[in-house]
Parts: sequence; C-alpha cells; structure tokens
Amino acid sequence: MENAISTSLRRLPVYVLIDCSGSMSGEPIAALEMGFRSLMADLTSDPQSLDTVWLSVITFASTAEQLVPLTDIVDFDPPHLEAGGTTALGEAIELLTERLLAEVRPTTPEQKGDWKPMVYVLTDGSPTDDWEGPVDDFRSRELASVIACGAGPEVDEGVLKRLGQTVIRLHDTQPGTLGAFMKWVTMSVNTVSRSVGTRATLNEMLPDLPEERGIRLVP
Amino acid sequence: MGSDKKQTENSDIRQKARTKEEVASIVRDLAKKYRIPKVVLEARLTSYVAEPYYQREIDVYEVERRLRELAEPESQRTAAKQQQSEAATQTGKVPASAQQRLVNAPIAPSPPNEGQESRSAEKSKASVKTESATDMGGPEPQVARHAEVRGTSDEATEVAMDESRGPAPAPIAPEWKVLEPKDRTEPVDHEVCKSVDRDEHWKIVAGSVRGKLHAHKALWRDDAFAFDWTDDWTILAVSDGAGSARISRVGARIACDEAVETLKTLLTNFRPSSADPDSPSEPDLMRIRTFLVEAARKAQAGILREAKARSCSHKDLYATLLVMVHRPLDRQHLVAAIQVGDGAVGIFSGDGNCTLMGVADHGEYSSETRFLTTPYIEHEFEQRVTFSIKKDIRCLAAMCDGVSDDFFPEGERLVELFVGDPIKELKQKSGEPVRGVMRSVLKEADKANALVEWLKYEKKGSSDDRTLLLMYRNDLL
Repeated sequence: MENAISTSLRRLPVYVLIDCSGSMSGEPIAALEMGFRSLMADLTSDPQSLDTVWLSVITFASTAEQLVPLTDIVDFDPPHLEAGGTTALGEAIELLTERLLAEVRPTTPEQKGDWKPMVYVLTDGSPTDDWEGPVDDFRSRELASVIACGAGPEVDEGVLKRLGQTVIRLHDTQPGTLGAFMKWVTMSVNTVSRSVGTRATLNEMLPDLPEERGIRLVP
Repeated sequence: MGSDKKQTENSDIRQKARTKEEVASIVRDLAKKYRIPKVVLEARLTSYVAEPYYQREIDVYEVERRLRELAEPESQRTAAKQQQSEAATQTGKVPASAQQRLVNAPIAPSPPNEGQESRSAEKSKASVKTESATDMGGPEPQVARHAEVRGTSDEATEVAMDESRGPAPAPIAPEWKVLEPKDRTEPVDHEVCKSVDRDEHWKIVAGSVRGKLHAHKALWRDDAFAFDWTDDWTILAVSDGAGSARISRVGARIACDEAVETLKTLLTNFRPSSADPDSPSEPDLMRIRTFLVEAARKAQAGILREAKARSCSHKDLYATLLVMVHRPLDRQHLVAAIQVGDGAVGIFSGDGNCTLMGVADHGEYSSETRFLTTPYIEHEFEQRVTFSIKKDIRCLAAMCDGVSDDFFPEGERLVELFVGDPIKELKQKSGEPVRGVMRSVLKEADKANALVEWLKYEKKGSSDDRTLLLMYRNDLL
C-alpha cells in the first residue's frame, strides 16, 4: 500500500552512486554519510523537492548494491556506508540500468511518466572491472541525466566522460571537499526539482560549482 | 496499541518501554499523518528526550501534542526556530556530531525547564516581523534572496506549516512562499478571470492562476488565454509559456491573440457548404483545417516578429498553443482544434462521456515538449488538427498542462474535470474534496471568481500555472 503511487504524480527520481572502495574508508565515507543526512534535511525543507524528489543510493566496491531503493524523500533513511574492496563501476552501472528500468516510470498512454531521472556517480579511482560494455549500453539508452564526478588524482577522466553528459572534478577526498560536493548535489536537486516542467536543459539548471572548494566542471 | 487494562492508568504510555521497532512504527505513522520527514521527526524526538529517541521510553501522545503545537502562526515558529538553535548551542544537548544539523530542527515550544528560552524568544521578535512581511510579497530584494537560499542553506532544517493546507490535522511541511517578481517588466496579473454570455444558449467562463512554484520563485504567470466569436463560430485559445524562457508570458499572449484574431477573420462568413447541414463535407473540413494551420502560422510569425523587435531569441518567447473552434450544426456540433505542445481539449456531452481531442506530445520524459517556434514545427501543423462531430455537447474545455496533467491519463480521467464527485487526489485549500466544474463552478452565481477559486486546488506535486477555458450550455446545466 505504501508503494501505491498516484498515476498522475510525476516524481523526480534521483540516483546517487557512491564509490565505497577501500580508498574511501575513514573520513571520506563519514563525510558522505553526513552529507546524506544534510541532503535529506535540506531537500525536505524545500516544498517542491518534498513533493517530487525520490531518492536511491547505490554503492559499489568489489560488488555493487542498491542500499536504498527509490524512496519518497519523506521516507528516506540516510544509509550507513562501509568502505572496502575494489571499484566495480561496471557492475554498478549495470545495476543502475536495471533499477532505472524497474523503478522509473516512462510516459505511456496509460500513465504519466516521471521526470527525467538525475544520476550522480562519485568515484575516486579507476574501475577495476569490465566497465566499457555496461557504460556504453547505459549511455545509449538515454535513461537519465548523468553527472559523473571524480575525486582525487587517481580518477580516469576518460571514464567519466564516457559515462556522463556532465563531468565534475573534485580536487581531493578531504571531508571538507566531499561535504561541499554533497551540498552542491543538494542544491542541484533543489534547482532541478523547481525547474522540471520548464523544459530547460540540464546544464542550464545546474547551480554554480564551489570552485573555491576545489570542485570544478570539466569542459 | 496499548493493552486495555493499562489504558486506565494515566502514565502507562510513559512507563511502557518500547522496542526500537515499536517506536519506529509509531514515528512512521506520525510522520505520515503530519507529512513531515521521518528524520526531522526523529530529530525532534531526539531533542525532546535529549537522547536518541528509541533508547528511552517516550510518551508518543506528548510528542503528538507538541507536533500539533507546531501548527501555529509563522511568527511563533520562527521564534521557536531561533530559540531552538540557541538552545542547542547553549545547552550542548546535541548527542552526536552527525545529528547536529538535524537537531536544529524547530521544536516548539522547547523543553520547559530552560530559563534562557523566553528571553531568546523575545529577542527574535524583531526578525519575526520582517519574515512574515515577505508573505505579502512586495519587491523586497533582500527578503526574496533569503527565500532563494533558504531551501539549500546548510543548517536550515526548517519545517514550517503550509498555511494553505487547512487546519486539522495540522500539516507541518515546508512553506510555499508567495513572492512578487523582482523583474517588473511585462507585468501580468497573478489571477485573471472572465465570464461572458455568448448567446442565449452558450456562456463562456475562463480563468488563469499563477502556480505556487512561480509564486515561490517570485516569477510571473506564463499562461494566457483568449476567446472570441463571429457568426456561429466560437474560438477558444490557451497558451502556456515555457517556464525556462525569460519572457514566455509575452509569447503566450501573442500566440493567443494572433490565433484568435486570425480565425475570427477567416471564419467570418464561412459556412459549411455541405448539402446535409449536419454533416460537413470533406472540402469544408479541409478549409477549416487550413484556417487552423493559418492561425498557428500567424501565432508563430507574431512571436518571431516580437523576438526580432526585442533583439532576443525566439526561445525567450517559447510558448505552446491550443486553439479550438466550435459551431453548432443542425442537430450536431462541429469542433476542430489544433494543438502545438501539451495541454488538452475535452468535450463533455449529454450522455456523460468526455471526448479528448488531440494528443499532447511529450517525449518519453515529460519535460520534452514542443513549442510554436520549435524549428520546423510548422511542417507538423496540418497533422496536429483534429475534428469532432458530436451530438448534445454540454461543455467544452481547453486547458494548459497545469490542469490537464492533474487528470492524467486524460483519456480516462478528464471526465472528472466536468462531473467528478469528488475528483480523485484533488483537495480544496480547506481540505474539502473538489468536484467537477459542472457540479461546482458552473452552479455558482459569480462563475469567473468561482473558477479562479476552483483552480487553486491542492494536489501533491502539482505546482504549475493553471488555465482553463469553459464554454457550456447554460440552458441545459
């Protein structure tokens, strides 16, 4: 009964994919956990986001897991994150594709679809699994607006560009940087939720990045 | 929940130790009832009992009473917020650093055993005044900026009551602001309505209201409508300016006016030539289609001309167009429409059925619509014309997507707009159910204002401008 969603309600689905490989353990992962708490608090204090945003969290290390299925922001529980293992980005994208197809409602004659989903992928390294196939398959389906974010020097920018329409670099994985990043994610979800239906493009909608915190857009 | 024996005791709730699961389910119920985020509620409970809520027996009724108290005028809420954040820093009751932000959530009126509270509440009164003044709008740039950042500010776990949702049970949700646009160019009224007697049978009533998202973002209403008639022909038009376009309200206005004026000229003296007065011939229909296409072309040309005159991009004037013409035949009615972009035209007839004309074109994800000045759209104008010949029409409705989306899928549900009793998922501001326009608006004396009030219904996730044009048989209501 909790899953009975009105056929005429348009949701803004937001998927956040977090790299939980060993290099993220300790402060970075704690900063992200905290980031989710304030994201939750901020989004629920905006009337438009509260009405429309649904959130899912997928983590990937040696394997990928959907920690939080797509959930009404009101019912969202900030997840507990654990880091350790390698970087199975390919598996994460495969899982993302599967979840998008299962959880997001396209527009059909019988049903008004959701707004185009937003996907944020945060990684601090290079993929350790077979990623090209899943990433290319995912891109070709055009299921979502993807913002690919790389933190620290180990990131392969080529992978990010192949994955997302928008690519963002974080200078490092310091808690301050990740905190500022999560805040930007929150702001961008807020602005996108207010812009749905205005038919603006993704880049028009995204707020400015906090460059002073070492976060910048890759042209 | 509690066993019957214990109900007699006053303090049973407080004394009963609850499992984490029990409390979690109570919290979930409360969060649902008051529509507040679960974490915010948890944070409130945490500040109330001064430790993670599930580690202690809590009096849920006491908590609920406090929640109800939160449903107070904004001034008190603001005071409470300030007082709470002060209390949090002063008393150091914050349990864990990760919780810190959440504990700043307003809990009102905070735990009673703290002396400094009343002082801080008074102190905050000055700020309260400016705060509530924002609601009435007024071009107050500072205040408006405050509204913009509020949703994203770091410690603003602000949970205010949405005044528009009615009193019981008092909902506690972030508040929709009503702000005046800072950009004072090209002003339009936030609400407009018109009611006209077309002739002895037909009346027209039209209304358009600014959506709550535009009010919240201090933007103008982007929708427009126009109507007119000539001989037996009636012309109705609505247009929805794109929310992302800077002056789309101007585009929408031009689109409606150009289309209606063009059709009025073309239809004057045009009578179906068919021998059978009840069945227009193929050439007649072709001509009407040509007229509608011409109306869309003129609307498009008008927008392009305006863009040139203003030296701006036609994208700044992006607008949809939906025009319909109606003519009574002998025992039937002819309705023809052209639709560019989303929105809907519905025909309600005496048998209680609703016919939907045209198909709105949104892409796989609904944000991808088309506009009058989308390149090469003019090649599609012809195929965007639809006809309907029907008996016993009682009401015609043309609307922008701000209304039609709330009746999705329109093919099945648009009939509710006319006679729904009640209409699913729609609520009046007072919390009362909403009934179809033929059962409510059209039965009122002042139909224009009744329509504007009707258009202000509440529906979760629906915050667009809303525009609805109705033409109805007054003598057959």
